[in-house]
Amino acid sequence: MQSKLRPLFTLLFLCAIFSLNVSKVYAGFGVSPAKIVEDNLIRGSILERTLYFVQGMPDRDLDVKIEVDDSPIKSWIKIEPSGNFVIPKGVQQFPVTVTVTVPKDAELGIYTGFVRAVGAPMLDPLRKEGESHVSIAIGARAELSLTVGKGILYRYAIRDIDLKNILQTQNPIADVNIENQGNVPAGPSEASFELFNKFGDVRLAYVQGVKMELVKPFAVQSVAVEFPITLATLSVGEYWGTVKLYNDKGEVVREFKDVFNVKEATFLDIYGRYILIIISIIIVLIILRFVLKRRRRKSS
Amino acid sequence: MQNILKGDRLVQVVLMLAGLFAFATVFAADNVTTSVTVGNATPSLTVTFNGGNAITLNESTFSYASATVTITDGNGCNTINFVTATAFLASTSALAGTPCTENDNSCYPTSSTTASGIPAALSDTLCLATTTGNQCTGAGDTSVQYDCGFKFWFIAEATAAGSPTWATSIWTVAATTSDGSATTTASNTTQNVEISSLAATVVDATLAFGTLSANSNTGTTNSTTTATTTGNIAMDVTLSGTDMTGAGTIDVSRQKYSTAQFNYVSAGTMLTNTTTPTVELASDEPTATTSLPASPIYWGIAIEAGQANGAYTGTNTFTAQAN
Repeated sequence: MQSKLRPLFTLLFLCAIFSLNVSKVYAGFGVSPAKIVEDNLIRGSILERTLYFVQGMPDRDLDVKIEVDDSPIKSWIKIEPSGNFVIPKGVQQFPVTVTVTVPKDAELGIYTGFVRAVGAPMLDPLRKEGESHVSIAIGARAELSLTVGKGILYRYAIRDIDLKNILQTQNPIADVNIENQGNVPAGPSEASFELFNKFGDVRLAYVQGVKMELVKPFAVQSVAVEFPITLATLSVGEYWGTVKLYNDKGEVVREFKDVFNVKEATFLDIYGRYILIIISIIIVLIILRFVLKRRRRKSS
Repeated sequence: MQNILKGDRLVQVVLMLAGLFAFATVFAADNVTTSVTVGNATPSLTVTFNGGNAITLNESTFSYASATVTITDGNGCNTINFVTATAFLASTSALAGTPCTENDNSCYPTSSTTASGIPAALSDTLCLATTTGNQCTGAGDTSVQYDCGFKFWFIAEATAAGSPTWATSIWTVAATTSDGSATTTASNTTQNVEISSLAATVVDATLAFGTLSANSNTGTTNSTTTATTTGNIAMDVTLSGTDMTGAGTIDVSRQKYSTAQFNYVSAGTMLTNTTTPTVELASDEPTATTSLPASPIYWGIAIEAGQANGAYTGTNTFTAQAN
């Protein structure tokens, strides 16, 4: 029997011919930043960062799977979005929020974790149906390098200050972009504002002692600071403003001078909210009337 | 007596004439020509770059970032006739007016803006008067904002924490303006703007294992894929794959790879369906967009005895990561 089958096997072996090809793939994929380093975590710290998965030529919807690699700190890391989703065609930088929560009973030490995204393989237009091939999928992996220690770190950086253009009905507003680099709430505690004319040589108003919210540990936050000036309204035009930020000792930590514009407020800008309130009241009254009528009809 | 009266009149006439002379002299003073020369006021400027935020690059291509330059000139903003800016890799503090030569790794000068007009093709790397911020409204207006655009290529040096070479450095913008008489340069000294690291790759390969019969392997004949670095840092990869399916199944472990040519029988690393240890590539950080580091990865495969003939398909995954 065995001898009868041998030629058949030999024939099968000879016929078992494989043509295996890997398709040509041109689409690239990457992650930025490739490394998130945080050396000042303490037990209970929450660290939030944004990773961008990037494509140079996003010429198709891309099915992507994103996940946290197995590691001792996998349970500390949450990503949003996660799992399978689609990066729409045309999107070059897709943001993913990574939140690391250090447990309150975490051992002090240095930890490493990874977040990985892999795109679906690209179809090779030159490949014929039924042809053997190995498709190539491209992914990218970001490393999280985390140190959990004991010391308190109070440190922040003021990334940017922007004096907003405002309407006549508004007070001057500064957007202050603060990065808390420490592990406790931090930031400037107070702000002052000097208003100057369009030439920057005549002071028109001064506001001081405006309290500022502290920024959460490891967070980057834009804090809007409104300066209630005593002038009834500013006339339309260009003004200079000087913003000073102070620490809790009253020392100036940043001074910023820039131009901003006051624009004419439209009728809706001035009275819009009152109109909205009135319309809301009228709608409520109409509904009440309708309900009451219905009840009367039912009772009669 | 008459003589005395005559003398009084004479005195009166003299006094009247003196009064008239004094009056005429006073009025004549109003006609004195006055003159003053208004000197040129040197323009001053403040610079903010990308809102103080880190810049994220796009793999294998460019991304834009901008700086806002606010210029003040006591003679009026309409005297400003020249604005230019340069974004450059700086030391740990921003430096004003640091000259550098255009280089996609570390130096991005904008073209000069002049009143003579701007070629449209260059408008993305120029300093242009803002259309949304503080505009120059003419005589009496002393300040104006310009927006300067920078086209950052994917090889621009990474400076953010954890970057391999320049983690203690920052990117700075130095802007220069002129009103035709005086020139001023300033930079964004109060900001620390970083470029984030980007680990990225393009795998551009057609891998043909060729024709294989059952119970054979590729031996010393390797197929090749090439992983090209398309980010701003040197990268490594992790590799994984799926079983190849068709008339039957070819287990993923039948594939082997190596960064050097190898004999399937005696060398190579078996591919698995989970992430393998990092494959250390020999690629360096890219220094030019025209010549990117490319790392070959060599492949081999074995077909078991009894494997059914036919077409087989599978997927291999290349995952880029920082070196």
